[in-house]
Amino acid sequence: MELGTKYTNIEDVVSLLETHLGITFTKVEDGETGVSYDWSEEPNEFGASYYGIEILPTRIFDPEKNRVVLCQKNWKPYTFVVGVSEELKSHSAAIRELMKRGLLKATEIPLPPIT
Amino acid sequence: MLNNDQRSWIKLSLAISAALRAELADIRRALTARGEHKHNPRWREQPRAPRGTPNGGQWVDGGGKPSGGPKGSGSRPPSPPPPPPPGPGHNQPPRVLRAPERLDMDWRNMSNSEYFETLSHLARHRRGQERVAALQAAIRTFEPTYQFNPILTTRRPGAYEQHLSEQLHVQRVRHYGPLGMDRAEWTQFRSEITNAMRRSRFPDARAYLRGSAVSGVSFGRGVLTETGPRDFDATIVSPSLFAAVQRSGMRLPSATRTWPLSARRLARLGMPGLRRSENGRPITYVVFSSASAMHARPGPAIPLSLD
Repeated sequence: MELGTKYTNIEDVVSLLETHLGITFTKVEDGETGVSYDWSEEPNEFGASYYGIEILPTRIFDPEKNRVVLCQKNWKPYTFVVGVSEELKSHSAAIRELMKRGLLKATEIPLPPIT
Repeated sequence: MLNNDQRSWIKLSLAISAALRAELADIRRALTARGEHKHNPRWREQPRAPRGTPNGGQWVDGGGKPSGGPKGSGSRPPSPPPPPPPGPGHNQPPRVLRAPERLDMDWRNMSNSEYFETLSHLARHRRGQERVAALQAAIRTFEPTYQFNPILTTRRPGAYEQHLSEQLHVQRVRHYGPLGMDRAEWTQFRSEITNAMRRSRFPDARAYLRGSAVSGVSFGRGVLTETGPRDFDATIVSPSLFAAVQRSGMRLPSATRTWPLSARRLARLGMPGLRRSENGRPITYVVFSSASAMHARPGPAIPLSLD
């Protein structure tokens, strides 16, 4: 599931989801993709985790072009995107409930066609 | 304006330079603690024996006599002989086998810190053919049948040594796993990523591991030792997956690669089953359109796919 939001501050989205889902996001500062937030499920016996939730900016600074660029065409109307692994059914349901109650103002972005 | 490759090389050079400066500071501190390092900021003003004399250029005391050496009778006592290298049964903890003294080092049984420290000594104290020979010998300790490419023409000085260093990293990681994973985790990781590639809609996909977990050098933190990397940088080479990324509307930093993507985004594109994190360290994936485009980026790449 992918949700587009129009919040001006990424921390607003982070604190809202942390409060209502009972999870703690990790701040990820990547030199190429800027600041985002990530939560992963508990790792298995091999130390690996597969599913999680990420909060990404829809625009990043491209040092080669020396300007801010849109990461994905269908993210244009939004400021931040919340991505939830399809396997996390309970978390997806909780987030949909937040949207229904008007606590999280977001729009579900349909899966882009892959041909 | 600098492109990304040039910027990466500059960052890498700065990281290595910072690491060497830190190491030099450690050596200075150790020498000071042993009383062997008596830095005199006005050493240029100290008198020396005149040029043309048998002791020409050596430090002399106020009367013009050499202050050291067999013929000298100056006030400075001769330096104590260096301590013998620690051998088996020595009370001191084992130290790095210093590159200047030996070239037949035990590369297979070094800890990460010993390995990178020894490489650093090799870079500083050996040049040209000697360094090439040491690196080739090191690679052969991991892979006895390794075939060296005799022709690697480039105008950049030290490029062949750089290539050999990268190949040494590759061979070492193949045997012991990358920084931040033990051998069992490494085998499991490779097995899972191979299965994910096979099950995906992109049969041409091949995965590699790159970045500080392989090279041992982090742009932000210099040479890594036992702590390991902050994250793992995986690379997937697949023309068909790259085309799918283009069709999905993702903006790309260049015509041959993507920005780092998460496992979730790759799952949406038709490649599920990839790990998000390993030992609490996030894994990001960059998709390249071809293997040559990936190898054109600086730094070594270790194949992850088992086939």
